[in-house]
Amino acid sequence: MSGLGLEYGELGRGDQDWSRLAELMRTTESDIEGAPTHGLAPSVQGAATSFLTAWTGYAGESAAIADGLAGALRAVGNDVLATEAEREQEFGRLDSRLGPAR
Amino acid sequence: MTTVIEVPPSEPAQVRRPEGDAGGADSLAEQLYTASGRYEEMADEAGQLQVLGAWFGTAYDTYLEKSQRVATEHDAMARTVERVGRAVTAYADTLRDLTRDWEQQVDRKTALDGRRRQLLADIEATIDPSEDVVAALRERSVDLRADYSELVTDHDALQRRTRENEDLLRQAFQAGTSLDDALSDDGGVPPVAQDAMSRPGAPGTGASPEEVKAWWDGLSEAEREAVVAAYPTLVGSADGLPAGARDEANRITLDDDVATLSSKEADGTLSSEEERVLDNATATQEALADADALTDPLTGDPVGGTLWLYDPAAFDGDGRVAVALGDLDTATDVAVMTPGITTEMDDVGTYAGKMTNLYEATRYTGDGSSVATMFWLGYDAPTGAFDGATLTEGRAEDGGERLADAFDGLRASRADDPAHLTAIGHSYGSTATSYAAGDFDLAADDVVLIGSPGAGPADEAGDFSVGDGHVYVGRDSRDAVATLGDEGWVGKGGLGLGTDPSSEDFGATRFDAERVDRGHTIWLGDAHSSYLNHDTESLYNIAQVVDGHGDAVNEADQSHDPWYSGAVDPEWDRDPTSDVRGESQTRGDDVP
Repeated sequence: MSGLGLEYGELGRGDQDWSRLAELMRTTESDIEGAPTHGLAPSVQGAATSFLTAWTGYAGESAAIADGLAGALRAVGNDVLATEAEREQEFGRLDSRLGPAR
Repeated sequence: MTTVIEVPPSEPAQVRRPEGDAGGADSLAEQLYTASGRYEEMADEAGQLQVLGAWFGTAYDTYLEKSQRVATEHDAMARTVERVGRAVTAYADTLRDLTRDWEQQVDRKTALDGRRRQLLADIEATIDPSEDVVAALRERSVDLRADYSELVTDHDALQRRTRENEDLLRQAFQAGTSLDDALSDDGGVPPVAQDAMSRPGAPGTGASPEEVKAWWDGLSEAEREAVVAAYPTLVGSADGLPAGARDEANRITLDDDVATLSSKEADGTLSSEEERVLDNATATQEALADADALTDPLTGDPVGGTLWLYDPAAFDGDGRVAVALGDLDTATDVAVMTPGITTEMDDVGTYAGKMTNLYEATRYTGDGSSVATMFWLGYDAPTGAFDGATLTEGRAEDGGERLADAFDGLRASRADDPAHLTAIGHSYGSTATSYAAGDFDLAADDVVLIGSPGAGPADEAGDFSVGDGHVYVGRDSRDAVATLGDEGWVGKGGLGLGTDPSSEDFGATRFDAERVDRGHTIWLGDAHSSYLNHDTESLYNIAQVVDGHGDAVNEADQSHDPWYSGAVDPEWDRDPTSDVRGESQTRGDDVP
């Protein structure tokens, strides 16, 4: 590892944005699933239904991908917070004084 | 003796209506455009989320790799679902045409069946007919058979076109269904369209307008429908293609833009750049609706609008657009008007209105020939009087070259049926038009300059490609912009943009262009913006030129600049007219 650094607030922003995208794609999934094909001639409706079914699935996968990235960022943030809390306590217990007071 | 007269059967047995509902198909297309906008949003956001503050390390490296993949793949998916949406829009448009044809065929069949019933009744009622009567009945029967036969041929063609329309959309769905297709650069593009676009002369390959026209002529009807649906932005701007094809393609892109961006606006994800594109698209849609609703002042028939150019994101969002009234593919007289400074794409409604005036005036005052008038904003007009670009001729030169290209495209699209073409330039657009005719061999028959600040590179009318006998100039004596051009031996110190084309020095034909409500001072405002208003001298005379009768304009004395004083405009003191027949009447008296 060449280095490590992060800004906790930015991770939170990323989590929120990916979560919003996941919601957007869930809406898309629902919209595509309900898209009307009644305006098409019967000879086209089969192909249209196959297309919409496939794309309903793709939108669901997109939502899952966005959820996954949001969750991973949230986990990074949570890990950082937990580590911060634990290390804060550890540092608190540490006696850094010299001499008789120690 | 028995006489036999064969009465043809009623055919086709049934005029089959194309299946499907165009409005319902439009609803599906809108859903797909909405989905496309959301995939685009996912791709854009994934791109922006690749940088999260100062995060770095191995976890970040892996996160970056994943988010880059999301951006790339979702961008491809946005394009694919958009292409399929456009195919659905094209299907709906064609279905509307097919349904109209079907309705006409039903009417024809009804009329033919009526004739057939009458013929049978007449035969039944005939007793001991003379040879003449038999011959007449036989002739009616022969005519009826021929008309039925023609209807059968047209009906077969309607059914074939219906099948092709359905096949094309089915192929578009199939070409965008699998994940590989969804992620491909050609996802949603039917093979027939890909094949057509791979042939020499296809738009986007650097082919000349003549080569593009030859390519188009070599396509079958089904191939044409396929490329219009699959590549609407390329087809919509391809010089050399028939205006009807460009219009069909541009309307598909327009519908896509309005639906996609309106959906993003509703989602709250519209960027400022996209907001400008949506404004341009909405303005174009409204202008086009007005154009489509226009009826001819003489016949009352629909005139028809054409979206000849549509590029709403061009020039940093100022946009490029051209809207025509009348049929550019068949009209005897075609006029193209180039506007001046401050004109942007969202002004399209105003200028389409001016083209409506010109269309109506040309038809009303003209010789009865068919007419088309087009507002062309294909260049980046300066944004205002104090824009640095206004004081120079760079934009005018660029605009002139683009205008000349547009005329080459119009010419190539009608090589076998050339129209009488008139280029009209207003204000800075007159300078752009002067560049087109002076430096870029504009393929027009006549040129009209109105409210001109100068003729750019041309010192005299003879420098124009159309020749000095075909250059016409309108100048309101109170129009401040039109006084800027150089004249006389002193000139005006480079105030304008070349020689004043209304001056003696230039040698064009100046026509009457004064207003009855003019004031006593030179200024901007109405003096500069009323050249295409109804019942003005200016519009009357421009209509004469557009109609191919430049020799019928009411000539005005040219301005001149004697050595002993400033420039003199003889029109300053002439009494102008309005709504006077043969001088300034441009529409019927029943129009308010």
